[in-house]
Amino acid sequence: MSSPESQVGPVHLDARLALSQIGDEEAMASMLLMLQESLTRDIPLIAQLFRDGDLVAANRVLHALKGFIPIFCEPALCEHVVRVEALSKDRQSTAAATAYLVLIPELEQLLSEVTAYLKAHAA
Amino acid sequence: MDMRRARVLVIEDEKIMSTFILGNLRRMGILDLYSFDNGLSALREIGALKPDLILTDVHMQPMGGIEFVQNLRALADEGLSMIPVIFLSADSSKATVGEIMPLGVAGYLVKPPSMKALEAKIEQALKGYKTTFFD
Repeated sequence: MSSPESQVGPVHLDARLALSQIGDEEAMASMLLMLQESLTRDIPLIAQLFRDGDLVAANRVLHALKGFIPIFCEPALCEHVVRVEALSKDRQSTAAATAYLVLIPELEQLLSEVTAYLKAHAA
Repeated sequence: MDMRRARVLVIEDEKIMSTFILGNLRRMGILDLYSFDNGLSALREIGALKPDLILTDVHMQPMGGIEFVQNLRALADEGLSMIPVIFLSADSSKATVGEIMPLGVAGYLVKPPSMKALEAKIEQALKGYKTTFFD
């Protein structure tokens, strides 16, 4: 018998939604690889930009994330990204940096789900 | 015109979004596609490519979509200056929409656009409709 943990599926990655929006499995796998690369690069990058006080650059990266994340994810995470992006856009540096710290584990969870999906669907 | 015969130029600097849009255009049967990652690069090639339709992001470096369309509309060649443009952006702020409205664009879609919305907007644009924002 499997444990309850092993029965829990992805929290943020919605593969069915992504497939419906992208159209086919091959294209989706290719785009998930891009998402994996982007999250691997951008999660620490945004944190560093907030630490440096560079809100303009942090907002630029968050803005891009806000645009493409609804292709792959359930609404709650998308809305969370929208809120943090809005704070960074309004130049609320402390609030934005604090809100991003709460977002980081969610984005890392998404990254781990994307990695697991790609591993499970590797040819 | 039949959208499947249209030459479409996509200006988008974000790789995932660009791939997504180009993929959806191909799914619609639009295969004559050109892609640029900023407005300046697109502007340099516009005369040679003569696209039927342009899809552009707003925020890009060194030239964003708004400045690109301002330059496009200022071209002496009406065949180029009147090319229909659809904006695609994650930025739906009043300020940005206010800058775009006077440019006489064919549409404004919030990213990521659904294929249905994108297809409908492209059909309208190729028939010469101008936008009613967020319709």
